[in-house]
Amino acid sequence: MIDLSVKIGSLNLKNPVMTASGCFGVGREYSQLYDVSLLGGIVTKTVTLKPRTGNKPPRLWETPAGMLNSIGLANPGVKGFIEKEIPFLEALDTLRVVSVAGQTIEEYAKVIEKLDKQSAVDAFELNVSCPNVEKGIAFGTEPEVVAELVKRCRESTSKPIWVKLTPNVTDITAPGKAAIEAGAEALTAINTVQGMEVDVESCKPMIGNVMAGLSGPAIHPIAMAKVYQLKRALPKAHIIGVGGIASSRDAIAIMIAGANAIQIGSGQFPNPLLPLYILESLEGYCIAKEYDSITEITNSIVIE
Amino acid sequence: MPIESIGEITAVQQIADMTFRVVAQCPDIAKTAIPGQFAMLGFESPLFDPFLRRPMSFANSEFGRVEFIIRVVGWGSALLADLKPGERIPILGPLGNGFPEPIDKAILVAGGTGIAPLAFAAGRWKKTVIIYGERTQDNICTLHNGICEKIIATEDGSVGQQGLATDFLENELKKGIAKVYTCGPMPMMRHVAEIASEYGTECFVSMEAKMACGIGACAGCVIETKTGYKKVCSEGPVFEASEIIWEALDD
Repeated sequence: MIDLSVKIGSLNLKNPVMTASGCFGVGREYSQLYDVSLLGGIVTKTVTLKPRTGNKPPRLWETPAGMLNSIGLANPGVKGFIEKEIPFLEALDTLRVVSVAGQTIEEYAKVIEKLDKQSAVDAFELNVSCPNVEKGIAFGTEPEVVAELVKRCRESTSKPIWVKLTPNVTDITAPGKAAIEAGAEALTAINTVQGMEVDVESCKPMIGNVMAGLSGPAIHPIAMAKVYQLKRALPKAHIIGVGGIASSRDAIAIMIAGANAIQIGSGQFPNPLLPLYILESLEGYCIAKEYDSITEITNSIVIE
Repeated sequence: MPIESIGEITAVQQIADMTFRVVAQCPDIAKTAIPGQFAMLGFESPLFDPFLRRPMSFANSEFGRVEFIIRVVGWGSALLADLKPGERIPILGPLGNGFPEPIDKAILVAGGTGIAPLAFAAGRWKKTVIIYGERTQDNICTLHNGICEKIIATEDGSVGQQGLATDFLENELKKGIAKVYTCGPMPMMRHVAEIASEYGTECFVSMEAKMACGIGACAGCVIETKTGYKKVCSEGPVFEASEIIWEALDD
């Protein structure tokens, strides 16, 4: 019997397979297809203080082995989230992580304060890396700002805080280190890679908001490198690997590079049951490798 | 409720220029699919080319089989049209809201592959008349589901009546009470909606958008409506025509 459980900071997950923010809502839609409580955790669509309608369509464009999206953090705001989504989350038997964003540090803190007493919220993931909103990436590129943000949010809750990092930086370890030193329990890496595409006939951008975030298998090697760099720079930090995981191999690979757990985002679109397949395969991989615990995959990289 | 299933292709048949009828054995989805709903058709593509599934309206659903009309416009549709009997594809469906079934007569106005959900409706519903417009004879899909009154309109007059599908709508509306259902190119649906509105007739449109998840999770497929952005996949694809802000849509 393989022990599938993993520890992320102070939290115990029954397995390391989570769904990524923005690709899963709160799980309501996918729970029509399977029991989402089988997952180790879910990360909700990002919640902001005020409701956001999101960006002008078109919001999607398919690219080689991936896709561009610019949704623009469409969400009902924290009040709407509590009314509409918390009752659904309450019924789930899995780790429920709420993704949070704000225009200012105070906005992040206010959202967290309003959600702090909810028993259906197990942790927060600070989205400091959305490429599709004004100042979205700005929070995640300046280590000092990341530190200040995490410190301020730490004052607003006793629940664990994770920080989701952007790959759109020269050195991801700088904001990563700042987040951990300021009290983050884990780093989620990576958010989407900034990208864009135009139609050569009309000369118009394919995305209404012009620039967008690239996800899908095309960015998996980028996520691999970022997770690897973070693990080298911060050996004790817990890292959640996300970015282009579209197969069991992708999931195992990012754990080998240093991730303690994984999140699956747009890989669910070509295969809505992918999280379940990955969960099965992780177990199979451990049996093949004669591991007793899934945690043995983490950082098992061999560099000669 | 949508189901993630596997469809076994039972027939692929060319029914017009670059246009194919693809039939798949998929009983659990076929059981509940209604006209106006769609499915996300997947690919067996280890290199993720294409990456996303393709949303396709049901063109029919009976005897455990679902049908789609695939017009080859890119790589994804080319792969779907190239499927062979016996091959298997992942199918997620049925998705979205179908057309509300009419009590009396229904006038169905189709353009191009917009014929798919309306041919399905014509086969299911009692009193329907289809007005089906295409550019020319070669584009007209040969269909055989259901028996209904059919008006074919081609822009060059090579078959049926010469003109646009919308040219023949008023004449049908004058014949008595009927609801209007339309699916096709954006300018055509907009015109249909305008005519229906002049006659004070309820009109339902089936909208199209690029989709990623297809089930309402990602919010990528929104269109602007009078009550804000709406997800085409889960809040549509069928909308009341009066809800749509046509000016906001690209032709």
